[in-house]
Amino acid sequence: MVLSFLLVPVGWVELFPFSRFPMFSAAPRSLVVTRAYDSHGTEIPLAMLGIEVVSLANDEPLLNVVPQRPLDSAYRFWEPNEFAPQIQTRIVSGGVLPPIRFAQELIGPIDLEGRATVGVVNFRAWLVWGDTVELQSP
Amino acid sequence: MKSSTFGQLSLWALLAAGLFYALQATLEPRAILHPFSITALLPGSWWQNPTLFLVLKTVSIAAILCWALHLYTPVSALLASGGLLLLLSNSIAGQIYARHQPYVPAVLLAIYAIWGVSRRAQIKSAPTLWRFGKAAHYPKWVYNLSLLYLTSTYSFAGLSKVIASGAGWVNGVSLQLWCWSGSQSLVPIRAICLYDRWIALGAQTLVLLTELTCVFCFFIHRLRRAYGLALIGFHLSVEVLFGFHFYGNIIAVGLFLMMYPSWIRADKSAH
Repeated sequence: MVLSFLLVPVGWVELFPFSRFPMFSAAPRSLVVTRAYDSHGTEIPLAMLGIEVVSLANDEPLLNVVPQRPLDSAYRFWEPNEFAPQIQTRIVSGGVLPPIRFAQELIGPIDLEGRATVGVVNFRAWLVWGDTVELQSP
Repeated sequence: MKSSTFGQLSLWALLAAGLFYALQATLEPRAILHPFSITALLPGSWWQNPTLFLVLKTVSIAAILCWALHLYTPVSALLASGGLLLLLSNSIAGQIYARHQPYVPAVLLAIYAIWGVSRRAQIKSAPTLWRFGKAAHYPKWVYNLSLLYLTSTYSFAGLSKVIASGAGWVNGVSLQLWCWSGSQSLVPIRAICLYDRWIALGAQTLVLLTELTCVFCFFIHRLRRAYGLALIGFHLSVEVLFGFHFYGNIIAVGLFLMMYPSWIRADKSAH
């Protein structure tokens, strides 16, 4: 039985209690931080809107018995056609009064006073109400 | 430390970790599921049943406490280990991505449960709870299997990184990004990693090399404490940066990598 815990992950199966421990195995060079705000400017937890923050490490399990990652990953820039109807439906079901403002920051490598670090390299904001989705900044 | 004392101490420590994760386990029904646990392959009406989950949680916690007090062994050991595996499996089945914090203590407790069943006569002969450490025999295979599993998990983690991203995993940028998106507090370790890419790159190199080569600790005794220190430091950093509670791993590393040399040398009778 114990040997199975060592051998099964070799077969690249990711099913508890068997695992190949893929945490942080991706090596992203940029990521998008997404935040949502209600009409009063108060930040709303993304989970409240049904938006899943998918781990970069293991968002593609090998055994694809059920559907893949959610459409609305918060780790990349969204496109306008992705909002309708998924996001709007979830805003309503989340009980949040529109308009909702989504702010997305693209984080990537920057040079800060000669130091190689990371910071905001691009930004997008979306205003969503009713059937309307408005991109507020390029 | 004598092997039998180590056996008792490690059992209690692992049970404490198991109790922590059992108490934390929640049923998370989701519309979109990833099959990250065995029970997720069963019909949702089975594993998503709140009553069944509550029963599993209650049985697991009660059995863990009974096992810690050496009551009703080996039944309590089997119920604690099996119940915890099922409980965690049901909890993980609803998660949008696998959280690996409870994996190691759950599997180590399964190994200890086998010990509890196979040596039930000896363990039952322990006259009292407090004298158990002196009376009960701690077989070397329990220690070796636990150590092999523990060190393998880290090597699997290192291998996963290399296979997923190649040598490019060590790029410094990804660690800086994780630090950026993790805890927003200005903890020193976050500030240090974000200060310059070379520091992040060095930290990533150290993590990858430690993980990849961890399984060598199973064969080379002298490596164990150094790796133990490195891994505990790694887990504490992950705790501070991302809030991932790998307490079970910290306990296991502390037990099987840090405490090994003194007890195994002192107790030849363990063989």
